[in-house]
Amino acid sequence: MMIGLRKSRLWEIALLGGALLFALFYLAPFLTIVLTSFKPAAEVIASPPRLLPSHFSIENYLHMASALNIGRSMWNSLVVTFGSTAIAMALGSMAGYAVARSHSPVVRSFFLLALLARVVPPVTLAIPILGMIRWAGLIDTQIGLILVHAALNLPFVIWMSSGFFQDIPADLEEAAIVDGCNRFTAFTRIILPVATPGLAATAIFAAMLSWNEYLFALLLTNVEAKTAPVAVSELLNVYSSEWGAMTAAGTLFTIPVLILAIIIQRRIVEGMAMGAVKG
Amino acid sequence: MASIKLANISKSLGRNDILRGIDLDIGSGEFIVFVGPSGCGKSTLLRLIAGLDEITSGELLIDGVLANGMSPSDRRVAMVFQSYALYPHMTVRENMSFSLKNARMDKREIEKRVQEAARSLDLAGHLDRLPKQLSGGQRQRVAIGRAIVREPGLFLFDEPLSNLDAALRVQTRIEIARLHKSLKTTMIYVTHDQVEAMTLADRIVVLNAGRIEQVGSPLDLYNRPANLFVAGFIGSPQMNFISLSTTGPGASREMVLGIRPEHLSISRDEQYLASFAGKIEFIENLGEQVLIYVNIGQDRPLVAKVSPDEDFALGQHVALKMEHGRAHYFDGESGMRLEREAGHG
Ligand SMILES: Nc1ncnc2c1ncn2[C@@H]1O[C@H](COP(=O)(O)OP(=O)(O)OP(=O)(O)O)[C@@H](O)[C@H]1O
Ligand SMILES: [Mg+2]
Repeated sequence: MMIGLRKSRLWEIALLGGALLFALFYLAPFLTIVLTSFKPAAEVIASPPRLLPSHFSIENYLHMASALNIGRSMWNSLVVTFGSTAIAMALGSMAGYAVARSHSPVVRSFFLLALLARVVPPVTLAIPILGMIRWAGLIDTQIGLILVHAALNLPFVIWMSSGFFQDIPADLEEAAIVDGCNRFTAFTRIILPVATPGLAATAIFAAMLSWNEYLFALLLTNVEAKTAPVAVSELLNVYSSEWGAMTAAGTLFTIPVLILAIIIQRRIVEGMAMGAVKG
Repeated sequence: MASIKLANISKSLGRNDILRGIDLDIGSGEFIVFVGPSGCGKSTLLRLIAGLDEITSGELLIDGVLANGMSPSDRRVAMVFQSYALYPHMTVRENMSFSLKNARMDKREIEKRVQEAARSLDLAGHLDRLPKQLSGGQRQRVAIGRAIVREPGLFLFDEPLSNLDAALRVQTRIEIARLHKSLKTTMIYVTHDQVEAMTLADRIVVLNAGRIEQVGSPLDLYNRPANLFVAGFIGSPQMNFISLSTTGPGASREMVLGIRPEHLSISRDEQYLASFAGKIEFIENLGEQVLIYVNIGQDRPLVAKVSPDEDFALGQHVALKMEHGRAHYFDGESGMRLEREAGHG
């Protein structure tokens, strides 16, 4: 009895230690960036590297602020992420619902086509998309990038949300229709609220994709609508590599995602564990 | 209190004919029960009447008005689903008032109706709970409450009691019967359960493979089944069937004799004026009665339902006697009922 108890306690400690080690392994690069960003500029590329700053300094942040308009590009990133996610979610959830409920082979094949669009490497899409955006006169505008990110995200949103909709019994919307709804109001008033946890999880993934997207942001913007990933990368150029400023920008860049993740973390977990929507 | 008329209704999905040529008149205030084996189209027929599925051909009239293209809410039907289909994100009160809000009813009237329904269904203390905070029986009552508050012309129930345990099922069955008595609204009720069908129905509709086999009062179906299918489907345990061939004045004829287990009596005395004799093969004790399986040389034993006071043992030789006037005769080929005169051969 005693031995059994002690053994299980030991086992628990070992498990916890293992989990911590694992988490540290994943967090290490991020922690390095954050710690480095607070080192004095001279220490950033010191060799051998040291883990902790010798003293706390915001030198890197000041330098970054003078080297690039971080406020502007962060704002652009926020607007583009928010706008493209909103569009992708609005259209994608409706399409996902249609896919989840339809038996039509046409809808099914549309769905597969949409997924195929996601499989094509983005680089191959770059030239035609650049052409279209230029033709529309939307180069270097937030709108242009919003539309492109929304389009890139749409297949993913359709695919992921249709899975959540499939888990909701069709009885629910039929009950709503008998209760005086039409197909659309049954969707907005019954199905959407029930699917919220799943859709929140979907929205997080879509937002992160847009927030981190680099290739199209680089191609389609240069001054006005430049997003943070592009701005940060400009610190690295043929003349100099501003490592210190980059760590500072990188740290700042992470903050909004971190806040978002903390706010919606519970919802994501709920979303992952959905299926339990039985009334 | 709607009256319903189904005229030659068919439903096909792709190449599958799910319902064929359904004709049925339902009077205002009637309690109609659909029974039939799994997959025979009961739910489909109910959904056609509700307006959830489209009718492929034929006409549906509600109160004499063609309703084929009407939306479910215009048909003034309320439906109770097998899964209850309560809106999980809404409280009991919101669930019950949802349809009334959709109809833009006055707030005070909504509250009044909800309170009334909640009181009659013993839900008054639970109005602010979510469905997941209720027991199965309470959810079931919310589903019924959601239908009642609308004061519909027609109630549709699709196996509403199948998720409840036996005791609760009996209790809710009685509640539904009482509800029908007090509201006098037309009701259509789908069930697998013979007892529900027999106790609730004014008339039972027996469906099989997308067709109506017979429509009649519970006693009609029990006493005068129109064919072998209905004879075998209504009554538990199943009616015994014995193949006969008679040689009449003309040609010989294949017939099937049907006799219900409760209409067979057993005697150990083989001299007894018996219809059949055989050996007891199996005994099933159900408590209030005992089923005796007697091998009379056919592929299936005859089943007799007797009182537990009678004492029989496996292997015993017994004689079976049919209660007078309780035998049914069916044509061997078509399976249709033959009138009794034809049977006296
Ligand atoms: N969407 C569909 N596509 C094709 N066939 C279907 C579809 N829905 C139902 N069916 C078929 O229609 C027939 C009738 O189904 P229905 O649900 O009405 O049966 P039921 O009598 O209610 O059965 P149960 O007692 O099991 O509920 C079944 O044979 C079923 O396979
Ligand atoms: Mg069914």
